[in-house]
Formats: sequence, structure tokens, C-alpha cells
Amino acid sequence: MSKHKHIVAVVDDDPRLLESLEDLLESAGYVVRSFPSAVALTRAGLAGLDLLITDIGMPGLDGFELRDLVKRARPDLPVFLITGRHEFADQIRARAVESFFCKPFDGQALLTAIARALRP
Amino acid sequence: MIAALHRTPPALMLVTLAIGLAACWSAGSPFGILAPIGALFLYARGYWLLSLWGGLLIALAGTVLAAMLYPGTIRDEALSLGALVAVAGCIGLLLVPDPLRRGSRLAALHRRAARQPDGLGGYADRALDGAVHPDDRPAIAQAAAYAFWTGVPQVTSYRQREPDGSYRWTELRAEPGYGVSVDVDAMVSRPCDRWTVAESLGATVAAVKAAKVIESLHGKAWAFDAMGKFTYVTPAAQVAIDMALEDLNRRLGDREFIDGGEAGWMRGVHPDDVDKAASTLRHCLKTGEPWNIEYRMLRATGHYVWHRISARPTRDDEGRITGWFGTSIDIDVYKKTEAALRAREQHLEQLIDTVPAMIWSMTEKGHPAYLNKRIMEVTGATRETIMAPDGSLSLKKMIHPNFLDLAEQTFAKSVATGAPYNIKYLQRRADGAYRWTETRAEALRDETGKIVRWYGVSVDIHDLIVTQTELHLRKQELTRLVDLVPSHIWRLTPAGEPNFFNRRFIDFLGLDESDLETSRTERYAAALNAAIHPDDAVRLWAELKHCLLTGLPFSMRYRLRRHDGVYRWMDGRAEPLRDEDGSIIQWHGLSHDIDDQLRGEEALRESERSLRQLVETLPALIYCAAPNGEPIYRSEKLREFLGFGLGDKDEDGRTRLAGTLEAIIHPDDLPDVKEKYGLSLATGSPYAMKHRLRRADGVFRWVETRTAAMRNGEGEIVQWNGISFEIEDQVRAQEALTLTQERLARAAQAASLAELSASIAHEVNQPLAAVVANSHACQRWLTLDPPNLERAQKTVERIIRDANSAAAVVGRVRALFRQTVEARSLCRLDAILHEARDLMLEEASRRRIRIEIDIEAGLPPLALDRIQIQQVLVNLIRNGLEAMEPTQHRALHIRCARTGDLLRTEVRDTGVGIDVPDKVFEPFFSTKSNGMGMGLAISRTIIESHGGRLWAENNQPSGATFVFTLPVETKADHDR
Repeated sequence: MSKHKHIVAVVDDDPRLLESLEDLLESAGYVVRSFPSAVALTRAGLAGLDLLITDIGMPGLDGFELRDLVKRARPDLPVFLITGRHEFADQIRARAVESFFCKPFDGQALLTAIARALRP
Repeated sequence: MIAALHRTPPALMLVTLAIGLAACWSAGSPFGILAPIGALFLYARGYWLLSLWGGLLIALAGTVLAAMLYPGTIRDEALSLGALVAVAGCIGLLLVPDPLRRGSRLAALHRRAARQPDGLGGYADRALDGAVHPDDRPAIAQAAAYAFWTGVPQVTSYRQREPDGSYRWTELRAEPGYGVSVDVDAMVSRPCDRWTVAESLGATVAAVKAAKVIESLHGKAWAFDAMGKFTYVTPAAQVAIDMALEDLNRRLGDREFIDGGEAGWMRGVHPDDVDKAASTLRHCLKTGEPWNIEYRMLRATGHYVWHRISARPTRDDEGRITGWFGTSIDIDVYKKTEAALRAREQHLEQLIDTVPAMIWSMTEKGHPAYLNKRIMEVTGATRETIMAPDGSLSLKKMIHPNFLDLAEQTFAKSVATGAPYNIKYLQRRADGAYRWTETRAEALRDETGKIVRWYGVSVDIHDLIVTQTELHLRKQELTRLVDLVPSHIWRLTPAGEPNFFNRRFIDFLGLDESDLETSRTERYAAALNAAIHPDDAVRLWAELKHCLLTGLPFSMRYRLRRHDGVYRWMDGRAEPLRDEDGSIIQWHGLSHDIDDQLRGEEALRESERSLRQLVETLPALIYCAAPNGEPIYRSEKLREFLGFGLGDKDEDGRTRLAGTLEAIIHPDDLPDVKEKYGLSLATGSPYAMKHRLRRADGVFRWVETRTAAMRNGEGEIVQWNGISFEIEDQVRAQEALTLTQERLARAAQAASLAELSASIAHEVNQPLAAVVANSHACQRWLTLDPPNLERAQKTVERIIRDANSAAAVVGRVRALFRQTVEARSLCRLDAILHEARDLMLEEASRRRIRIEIDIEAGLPPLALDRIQIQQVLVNLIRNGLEAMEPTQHRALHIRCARTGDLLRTEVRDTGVGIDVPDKVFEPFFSTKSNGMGMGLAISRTIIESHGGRLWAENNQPSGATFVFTLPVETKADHDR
């Protein structure tokens, strides 16, 4: 693990989940930047970010839209989608999206996936 | 013989001439010539007489001159001849008759100019010549004869012919003339003559002399003494009354006449007159006043005759009355004439008064002179009321003001010009009413043509005028009516010649009324001939001829050309008018222009045909029924559908309606149909029903039948019209739709359950995800070397918090579905409000929206499910925040106050508002892309489970307000 700490941005409209993800990622040694909405993230900018985790069901821009937006600006930036709505999950799985987690998700699995995504 | 000679003057002349010549010859003296000269004087008149006189004067002058100029023998001869001429002149003076003193004389007095008789001849003969009306000749001859023989004056009227041939009434007066010769002494000399002589004349000699003088003049006289005793009476008079002197003087009682006794003459006086005669005579005898009296005297013929008696006294030198003389004149004719005149006048007056006319007269100046009784009675006017102060006529009180000027002008004109006066006017009557009166007046003129009088007559013509006016009006009205009647009225002679067309007919034909050269009948006939349509003419004339011959009424339709050349159909009718004998006087006809009617009927038939076609071809089953429901018509389509016609189901004992209904209505629907149809028939309300109808092939098909009443102007039902649509396909489709809907509903139910569970899962998953993530974090903090216990501790606290949160959600869901009240406890709403606000504060600040809270102080605590109410508030606040996202006014107002027994809480945003305020409370209604639409539904359920209400309102100008109320007294709910 390099001395450089990876910066992970988290977007979720539920402050409790935001809080818990921030805790989990910090425990894994990441620098976390929390945003309550997609708009808040875009306003802050994508510079310096190494990875983005976003909820799908949010007011305003939802997770899918945010991902598409980010992919245009930063095609290299890995984006993880999380959702509490299992009907979405079925669709996403059908689309064979790998970087996707359903709430409640396995923290260890998430961290492993992040680490894998950030591996050079 | 002498008399014969007298009657033939020429013979007399010859005789006297012969005698005179003989005397001259025999005596040798010219004196003999006196005889023929005397005869000449007797009969010569006019020129002859003047010539005779002239000759005598010349002869006398000649002899005088000769006597003066020649002395001697010539002078003696001249004197002798002069004496002869003088004697002849004396004879002439004596013999030439004075006409007044010779015999009976008749003088005719004419009204205008008396005709003076001239020349020789008998006057009576002249009077009786052809100038006298033949009817009057005997009377006048008799009067003249009577006058001649009796000496009694006669006054007779007769009609005398004028030169122009007309007759005029003329009065003839005949009276005797006498020579006076009084010889009183001779009267005494014949004492035996009882008619003439008194025994002694006594002192009455003077009176008797006077009487004789009168007798000589008058033919009749008498004398009596101072005591009234007759001493002389003309013998003829005594004969006439058949009383001699002694009879006249006979004393009939003891007393002298003068003392009131009765004398014989009184018996000859009419009993009615005798007292007056006697008393006046006594009075005169005593006073010497002249006695003048008229009374009736009894003639020898037995008739009383009126006489006028006059007597005067004679006096001696000392003024004492010595006697009386007097005479009596027969005035019977006067009296009778007078009586007749009076009677006639009275009769005339009565006539004037009884004639049913108002008669009046005016002076020549137009001043009122006389009004008859009737005019005074009828009009109430008197001579005074119609006379102005200056005596002229004033009509103000007699004539209606409207006619006053006209009447006065006309009258003034008539008076001025003498033209007859004629005017019709309204005359005021005694009762104040005005009546139409006609007054005519004409002037009466004297011989010179000067107006002496106006005679007028006024006749009441009110009824006449009123009738005439009425008649005129009636006639006008009738004419107008005849012209107004929207038909052609005409009249034919029995021979069929038109002699009257009414105005409308004339206008229709365009007849020229100004053409007066040909007769009306000819013009009408020609116009009619020309106007009748050639195709109808033969038929029409034949029919008319037939009717004229038989007297049967005429009725026919034919075409008549209007003035503009257009032929119009007419319905002509005529009937004969018959007199009492039944023979036809004329034909009265009436022609109706039925062209429009015929066209209308044609149009109607066409319209009916097209309507029927429409009804028959409409893709519907149409029928009509009588007001009692009995079918009276079925369209072709309906007949085809049913397979039978109207009368095919008629059976004995049942109405057509009942038979039809049972045959065509599905047995399951029949009771309903009967009931509903019966109700409609009874009430007149429209009928609508869906039922199955039996088709001709026996298959029942669903139809919708609608029937409505057709009413007349009075609102009475005249017919029921009905229509049936086949709705078999529609019913089938509806059934399919219902099935689909049911399936859909079930599917929706399933879907909403899935949604609900997903929603619950999401609500639970959020805290669970947080718990899981925190657990991993905690594990990592603890497995670090050295373990970060501080973070682990903090993380664990979060795990506990979030796990509780998840448990609370589950609990709330349970509570929601169980509708429990277990969780309720007394808590303060303001505290819950602040908690909810705190929960949403971060989100609000992130959205840059202010949350303003206004809570009334001292609100009572309520029994509430704290979590549920908090959830409601969070839900409402989040809705409000989200609604305001796109807007500028960013403030959310929460207000809580007490209203009566309720605590009212409002959450007001300034967002876009709500389209359908009630819809938002339905489950799964959401305007948000990620909302599941349960929030408000659940919120409402929560509030209602607390006994309150939740609703939404839109604000002005924008935004929405969600309001919920909670009851203050919730003890009952709490206990439950």
C-alpha cells in the first residue's frame, strides 16, 4: 500500500449511510469526501478523486445520471453504484454491471472491490 | 109698351123723333125737338153725350150772341131758340142718370185692383160671365137675386179667373140703393093694412120719418116710442118675421116692457139672446144711449137669423126723447162665415199643434214670431228663450255648439237673400239630449214679392240619421269585410253573368276599374274568361252551366291566372240565393286561393314520405304506440327483426300490448319491462330499459329501448314513440371490459403489495445498510494495530442508533397495519414539531430553505404516537422542501395554534402547488420520480387514527398548505 492515500467520494441522500460509509472507508485508510447529492459533488468538482461511490435513488440527479456525467468527464474514474431498491438491482444485474452493491452490502466485499479498482 | 121701348133705345129714338117733328110741324114751333133730345139724353153715353152737350152749349152761345147783336125780330127768334136750348139742357140735366142712384149695383172688390165696370150694360151679367168659377156661379147668382128682390145686402165669395187663367178668391158685396121719398101721412091713411100702420104715430112721427128715410136707403127700418112700443116696421120685415105691429107690441104679462115686462117681439128673438136684447134695450130707453146689438131673430121660415140691430132716439126741442128709429142688418152670413173662420182657424191651430212636426214662423227680419205647441214641448224653448234682447233669433239654446255657427250663417244668408232655408243639425231637447233635426223654412211673400213672413218646420230625423249612419257604417263595414276576406267573393246573375267582384278578386285579376266604356258585367266576364286556365275552362264552364240550370251548388277546383301571369289553384264554390218563391235571384260565390295549400300539402306529403323513408331506413328498431301503449306502428326494420307485423300477435282476451310483450321480451326481463313500461304509461315519463328481445330466429338479443311521449299543444299525450338499439355487441364488449378491469384490479393489488414491500424494504434497508457498513468499519477499527477504540466506540454508537431506527421503521409499519394506539402517550406537539424540524434542518439548509416555526404558547399536551406524528411532520416538511426546489421564495412556514377543541397545524410552502389536492392522499400517488407515493397516504391514515383530519390547500399566489388537526380531548381514544 503506497503512502499516497486514495480519495474516495461518496454520494448518498441518507446521512446515516453517508456517515457509515465514511467510517468504513476511513477505517480502510481512504480519504473520504461525502456529498448528500450529485449536484453537491459536481459543484465540488471531480479533481483529485480516485473513486466514486453513489447511491442510485436520490432526488435531483440520480446515481445513473451522475455516473454517466462523471464518465464523460473522467472516463477513468471508477464508479460504484449502491441501492436499496432491489428492483433496480435486478435490472443492473441484467445489464451485467459489476461495480454495483445492494443495501445492505457486505463492507468487506465493498472494500475488496475498491481496492481492486484502485490497483494500478 | 113703354117698357118695351125702354129696352130698345133706337126704337124709342125714332118714336120721339117722329113725335117731335110732328109737333114742330103742327105747332110751327121748334119745341117739338125736345122729345128726341130728351131721348138722346136718356141713352147717349160717352162721346155721344159729350157731343150733345157741346152742341147744346154752342147753340145756347150762338142764340145769346145773336140776341145781343141783332135787335128786332132776330133778337126775339134768338131768345126763343135760346130758351129752347136752355130747356133742352135742363131736360138733359134731369135725365142723365147718376150711376150710383140707378137700380141695383154690383161691385166687385178684388184683392189687388178692383175692376171698374165701364160702358153700358148689366153689372150682374158681367159678374156672372165666364170670369167666375163655374162652381160659384149659382151661389153668386142666388145672392145677387136675393139682394135684388129683398133688398138685404149680400156678401158672397167666389173664385174669379185672372188673365193668366188662375182663380182668385174675390168677395162680392151686394146692397140695395133707394130713392128717398117719405110720406108719413099716407101711412096713416090705410088703417086696414095690418102690416103697415100703427093706430097712432103719436110723438114718434119724427122717428117714423127717420125710419122711412132709412127704409128708403136700406130697405128695412122701424120706429118705436120712448116706451119701446113699435109704431112703424117695414112691411117686408114684418112679413119676413111673420109678426105684425100688434104682434110685436103685444104685452105678454102685466107689466110694461120698460118695467121689465115682456113684449111680443121678444118671442121672435132667440132664447139665448133675448135677455140681453131686452135688458140693453131697457137700458137705452132709459138713458137715450144708442142701441147696438146683435141677436138671432126667428124668420117666418122657422130659422133664426143673425141680425145686427142699431137704434137711435129722436128728441124734441127740449131734448126729450120722442121716439126711436132703427134698422137691422142681416149678418147671418157674416156670423156664419166668422164662425166657420174661427172653426177653421181653431182647426188649423189644432192641426199645426198635432202635426208631428215643429212649426214656427219668423218675421221678415228673422225675428221669432210663433212656435207651435210641439216645438215648445219637445225643445222646451219658448219664443222668449230663442229671442235675443234685440228681438232677433238666438239659437244658442236650441242647437248643438258644433252646428251653431253653420245654422246661424245659413239662417242669416236665407234672411238676407230670401232663399229657402234647409239645415240638418243636432237640436237640443227639453231633456238636454241632442237629436238630429232637419229644419226647412220658406219665405211668404206679398204681391210685390216682399217677404212678409218666414214659415219653418223642424222634423226629428234622429232615428233616420242614426239609422242612415248605422246603415252607412254597416255598409262600409260590410264592404271592408268583403274586401278584407282573404278570398275572392263574386256574384252572378241567374244567367251566370258576373256583376260583382270583391276588391281582392279585382286586384287578383288586375282589372282596370277606370275603364267605364264597357259595362262592369262585360268587363268581369271578359276578365274571367281570360283568366281561367285553358285546361280547366271547358270543365268549369260545363259545371257552371249545369249548376245554373239545376240550381245545385257549384264546387270546383281550377286554375286562375293572376295579374302577373301566374296560374294559381282556386277552390271555387257558389250557391244560389233564392227569393220567397224559390226562384234564383243571384248566385254568391267564393273562391279560395288554395295554391299555397296544395303546394303545402304536396310538400307535406313529400316530407312525410321522406320522413317515413328515414324512419324505415334508420338502423334502429322504431315503433309507435297509442297513449294507452297499444302498438300502432312498427318500422320495416323492427318487423324484419321480430318476424311479424302489428296484428299478428292479437289474441282474444288479451291486449295487443300484452301479447306482443310476452312474445318478444326475454322471460327474465319481462316483469321489469312490464313494470317500467306500465309506470311510464301511467305517469307520462320517458321509458328507458335494457333488455333482451327475441329475434325472428328465436335468439334473444340485447337491446336498449327508449320511449317518450309525444304531446299536443295542451300537453296531452297523443302518441308514444319508441326506438330500440341492438346493443348485443356493446353488452358483450362491456362484459369483456369488466373482466379485464377485474383482472387489472387484481394485478394492481398485487403490484401495490410488491411496491409496498419494496418500499418497506427500502425504509428498512437504509438503516440496515448503515448498520452493516458501520459494523464493518467498527471491526476494522478494532482490528487495527493498535485498535482505534475511540472510532470503534463512536461507530458502535451509530450502529445502535441505526439499528434502532430500523426497528422503529418495522414497528411503525406494524403499527400502521395494525392500527394500534399502543404507542400513544401524552406529549407536547410543539416538542415533536421541533424534533421533526431538527431532523430536517440539515436537508433544509442544504436546499437553502428556511424553516419558520410559529407555535402558540400554552398548547395542551395530547395523547399521541410520537413517532407517527413525527413521521407525518417529517413527511410534510420534506414534501414542502422538495416542492420549493425550483422556486425563488425559499421559506417553509409551520404554524400551530389552537382552534376550539382542535390543534391546527399548517405546513405552508411556496412551491408550485398541487394540481389535485385530494388525489395526493391516494396511495402510490407521486409526482416525484423516485417517490413511491405512500407518504401522504400513510400520513393521512396516521392523523385520522388520531381522530384528526389532514388535507391540502393551494395558496395564493403559489404553493400549497398541508393542514392537519388533532383533537384536544383525545381521552376516549386514549382509553381505547
